[in-house]
Amino acid sequence: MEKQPNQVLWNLVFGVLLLLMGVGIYKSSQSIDYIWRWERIPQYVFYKAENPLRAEFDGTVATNDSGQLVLVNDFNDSEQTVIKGFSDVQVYDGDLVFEGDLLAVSYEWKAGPIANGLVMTIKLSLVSIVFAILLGVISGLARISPNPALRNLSILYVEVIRGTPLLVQIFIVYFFIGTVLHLDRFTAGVAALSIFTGAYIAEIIRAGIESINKGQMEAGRSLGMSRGDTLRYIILPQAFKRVLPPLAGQFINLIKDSSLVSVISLTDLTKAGRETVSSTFSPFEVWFTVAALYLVLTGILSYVVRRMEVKYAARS
Amino acid sequence: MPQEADAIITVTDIHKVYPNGVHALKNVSQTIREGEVVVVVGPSGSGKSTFLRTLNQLETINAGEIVVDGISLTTPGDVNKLREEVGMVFQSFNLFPHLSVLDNICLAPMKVRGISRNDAEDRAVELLAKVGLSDKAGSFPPQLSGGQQQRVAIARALAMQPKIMLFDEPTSALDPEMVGEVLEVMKQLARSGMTMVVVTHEMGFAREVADRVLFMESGELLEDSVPDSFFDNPDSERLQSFLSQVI
Repeated sequence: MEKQPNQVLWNLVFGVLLLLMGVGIYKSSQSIDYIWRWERIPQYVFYKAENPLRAEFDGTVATNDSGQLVLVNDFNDSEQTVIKGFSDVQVYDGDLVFEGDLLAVSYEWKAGPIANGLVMTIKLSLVSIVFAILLGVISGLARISPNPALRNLSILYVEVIRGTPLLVQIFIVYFFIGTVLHLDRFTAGVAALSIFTGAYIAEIIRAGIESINKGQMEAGRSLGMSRGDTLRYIILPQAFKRVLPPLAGQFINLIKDSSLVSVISLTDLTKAGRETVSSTFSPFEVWFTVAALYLVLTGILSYVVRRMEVKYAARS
Repeated sequence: MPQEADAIITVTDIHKVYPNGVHALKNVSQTIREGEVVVVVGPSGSGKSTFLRTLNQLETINAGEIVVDGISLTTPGDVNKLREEVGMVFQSFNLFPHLSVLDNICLAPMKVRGISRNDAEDRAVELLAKVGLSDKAGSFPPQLSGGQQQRVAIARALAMQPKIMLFDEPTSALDPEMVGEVLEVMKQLARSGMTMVVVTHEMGFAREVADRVLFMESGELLEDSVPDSFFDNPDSERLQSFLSQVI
């Protein structure tokens, strides 16, 4: 029997290595006199917003019949403001109040720039993934079409997109196409991301279809089914199962690539991070937080796809 | 070209040259009548599979003419119409692995003939009983043995109610002990009057079931005779040496 590695020992080694990395990061930040201020970060994710109630007129605070505090206008009894629903009331019965004075404050939790950026990144990625799949499947099918116009169009699309940097494509979509067609930032961002990812998905779909045994197409055709029906009912369902792992990789890439749209002033997670850095002067904490949030997004996606793989694998 | 009264397949002087220059069929002519069982034998690379595949246009020909059930395969037309009438069974079964046995059989009748799921399933159950696999309707192809898969493939082709059945070495990919069960289904089919063209190496089957046996070598059709004279008094020397090697 071949010698197997000692599970306990090598798991321990793994743990020690992790620990060393952590210590290394801590030490290196110490060596550059960096002061960690993690406490500054949470408020940029969620913060407690103050919602003040100020007097709109000069008046006196009184208690009404139902026991609520009210501010009554000194010059006009019928004008009253009921003070209710506030967690922090600053006035008492009988107080004299002038216009603009603080009466009460309530607090509510609001999403900070990083949370808003995260939502924008999720929205951008989800919409782009849908269009990228559409584009990718259509051009993947066109790539294997017997029609030369469709096939060459697909080859041209894939080669042009794969041969140019995404950043340049975003600029072209936003400044050229966006100006001609009057696209807003979000649409331009979605367009650039889905066109870019669609080209890679097209190649994945093509490879998936070509990996299915030629006999499957022949069997479908020999039963009198059209090429389209055979693709739809026989080839694509089998190909889909095979391309799921590379497709998942492409979706993860899309989420990460979406950080580049911050160059056209879309406030996604990355741009929110940059803005937070300029107001906190805590670049380390912010970028670690942003990285962790990206990791959570891509991790969830990996998990979902792995579940799908298991589900489809179980069926055959 | 008009076909003879009971001819269902008429092949006239066909040539097939593959893009790589291989001349797979040379001047092959053949007439097959309705209800006939024709077995094609020959060494590998002799063009017998290519010949079979030209009959439902899985291969196109470069010259000559083929008329199947009144449809000319050399004039442009709807090839699917022809294939509805010509069933095919492959050496490697080619079942659809993502569909259950029942769905394998029902798919084409529903999508091509447009019959309802209920009717298709009724017919599929009948056909499965015929090939002796009533208990496998819910299984998936990878769960079946080779012999069982090939019998499902036969049922799948029959579900389209074809007039002609083509068999491309249906038992060559099978373990020896499974050959018998597939041949038995084919014999039963032959007895029911189906027109069959069978490419095979099973000489026993040819002798027992065939109305005529064809011998092909290097793309040429060298012998065409009834089984008795084919096996007992072969005309050509090449057939004699072929038979001495395989029997």
